[in-house]
Order: sequence, then structure tokens, then C-alpha cells
Amino acid sequence: MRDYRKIFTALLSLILILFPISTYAAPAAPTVSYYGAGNYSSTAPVKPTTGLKFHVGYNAINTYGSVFTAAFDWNKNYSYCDVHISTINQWPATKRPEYFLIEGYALEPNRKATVYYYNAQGTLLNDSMQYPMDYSSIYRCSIAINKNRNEFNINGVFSTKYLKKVIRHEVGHVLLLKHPSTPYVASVMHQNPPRDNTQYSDVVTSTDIGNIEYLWYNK
Amino acid sequence: MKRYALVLICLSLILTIVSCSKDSSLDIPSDIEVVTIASHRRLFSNLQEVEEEAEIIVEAVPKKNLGQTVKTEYNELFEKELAGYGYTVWETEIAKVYKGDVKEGDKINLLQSYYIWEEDDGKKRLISHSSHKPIEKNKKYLLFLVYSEAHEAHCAVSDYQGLFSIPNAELKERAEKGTLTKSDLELYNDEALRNVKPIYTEVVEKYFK
Repeated sequence: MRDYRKIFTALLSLILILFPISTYAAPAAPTVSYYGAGNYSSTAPVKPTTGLKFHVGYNAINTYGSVFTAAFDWNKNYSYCDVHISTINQWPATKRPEYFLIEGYALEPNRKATVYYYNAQGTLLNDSMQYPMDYSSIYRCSIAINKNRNEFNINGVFSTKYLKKVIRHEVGHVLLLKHPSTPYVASVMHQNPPRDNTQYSDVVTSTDIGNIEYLWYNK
Repeated sequence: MKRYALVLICLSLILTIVSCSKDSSLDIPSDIEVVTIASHRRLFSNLQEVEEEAEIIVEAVPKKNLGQTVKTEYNELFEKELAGYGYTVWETEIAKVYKGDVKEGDKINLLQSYYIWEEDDGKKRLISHSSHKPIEKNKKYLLFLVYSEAHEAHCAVSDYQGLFSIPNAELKERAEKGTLTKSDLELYNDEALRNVKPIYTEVVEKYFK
């Protein structure tokens, strides 16, 4: 009888060592979800799980300088995924074709920025019924930032904080986050200008991190 | 002989007029595939904010498509130009003025951010950065506009928050009841409907009653 007990204890210990309970733990569903159901194509040369790489174009650099490192704010110690920004090439001698482009364009007033999603054929994704973040064939992205500096004014004064918020927001879209459907959550993914001590955050929040972890877990 | 020459001249004149009056490449086929591009834009929470932002507020009618501009990016990975930002400009005639230094009968250039893109296989797609469906020739709209020097054209204040077709009685009733759908407001997505609904109710109350 004592032998059975010993064998049982030994087996139990072995199981606990080989299959720690933490292996099976999944991130908790975020309190407010605003992530897409899509993914990057397995053949995409650049993707969030292997490190996003951006090339910042001449117009964007010439207009705004080196603020684009704000995208690194997405690099957190995620527990459940390896999502990260690996490169933001701001003063490049040459443009690497696989890098995602961030460029400044004269967009119309009140349009701060736009993200483009392409498939492996270079065709723009997104139809009127489906968000691009819901496609599973994303191969490349590019970001257009309005090169009119006045677009990033707060109370009539150019705000680097606002610009950085928009950069983080657009990179959030590249990471397949959408706009939150409720204003009652602190997030950098709201469209409004940042306001201190409100849910309109200029930096990545814990809810944003929760969405990233839940979206990218096991991808 | 003179008669034949006269007939030939008349015929060529007619042909020239017909060909100039309609540029079919700018027409949008009804069954065209639509690609809507979401943008980060300033959103207004009420009509007062929209009115304050607008330099001119008018009722106006698009008369002539002046053409489209498309910014592309050549990418070596695909060995082709990738479609990006773009827009179409319409010559638009003002019918009624509510605000601004313009008068009835004036013509302004109105920009809406959509364009037609031809894919490698020859298929045409409508690429729209606007959440509002393309404006239509000879249809009257209420417009809250700002001028963009970079584009030398007027643009609706934050896209669909500054562009409304004149509603019929049925639509006004739905606005009062709060049962508007995205197709009622010629919108592509529910997010735009959510953002414009409170403003539209005020617009109906103030401009369309």
C-alpha cells in the first residue's frame, strides 16, 4: 500500500514538472476588446511577432524630425506574445523594400493619418463591410501622416505630444488594434486629441497591452 | 462640294462636343468594388463645433468632375506602384449661403478623398478614404467646408461630419425617431454612423426643418 502511495506521489511530481500549469494559462480576455480577427500572411517579410521594421520617409523626417521613435512605446514586457517594434529607420541612406513606410503627405484638413494594408500582390485590403485588421492575408502596411504641422495643434500651438500620440495610434493599427467602441476606456486607440487625466491617452495603456496580448497569444 | 464640307464640319463639331461633355473614365460603375480606408481624424461631438470649424456653410451642387489625384509608392518587393492617398475634385455651384465670404452662383472646387484605381488585371476599384459615399453630380448637399491650400480646394469638415445630402420627409422622420441607418446617410460603416448621428439630428433641426 505504501509502495502505491510512493508511486502515485512520484507520478504526480513528474506530471507537475513536465507540464507546469502555467503552460496552459491564457491571457484573460480584455475588459474592453478592440482587436481585429486578422493576421499577417505567413510569408510576410516583416510582421509584429518577428519585429516590425519601419522606414521613415524624407517628407515625414523633414517636417517632424525624429519623433517617430515614439512607436517604440509599444515594446512592453508582454507575458503572452513576442510582439515588438525592432527598427525605426529615421535617417536611412537607402530604403529597404520590405520595411513598412511612414511618410508625410498633404492630407486634407482634420485628417491626421491613415494606415494602408496590402496583400502579397500589393493590392489594398479592406472593403466597405470588413476592417483590414480582420484580414488574415496582410503582407505589408504603410502609414501616411499629414505633413501640415497645424494638424497637431492643441489650443493653437503645435503639440509634439499629439503627434507622438498619432504615431503610436497608427502603429497600434499596424498591430491590428481597432478604435475602442466605447469612450469609457483609457487607450491610445481613441481618435481624439490626447487630454491629461482622461481616457484619451497619448501613451500605450494597460488596456491596450491587454488587447495586444489577447490578440497575439498563440499567433 | 461646299455642302459636303459644311456637313463634315458640322459632324466633327457635334462629335467634339459629345466627347468633351462626358469623360467616361471618371464615372463610377454601380457594381464597382469599394475599398474603404480608415483614417485618424478629428471628430466633432456637436453641431456647434462643426459650425465653428467651418469657414463656409453652404448648400451646393456638384456640377463637373475635375479629375483625380493619386499618390503612389513604388515598391521593389512588388515591382510596381502601390495605391495610396488620393482624391477627386468636383466643380461645385453654390445654391445657398449660411456662412462665409461666398455668394449664390459662385463655383468652388470641392475635394472628396476617393479615386478609381485600376488593378493589374484591369479591374477597377473605388478607393475611398472618405466614409461618405462619393458625391453625385447635380445632387444638392449641405456642406460645412474648410479650405485646403495644399489641395487648392474646399474640403468637408472632418469628412462625413460636414457633408449631408438634402433629406426627404421620410429621412427627416427617421432622424427624429433616431432610427437612421448608414445607408440613409450614404455612409460606408457603422463607426461613421455612430459618430455623425448626434450631429445629424441637430443638422435636421436647424437646416432642414
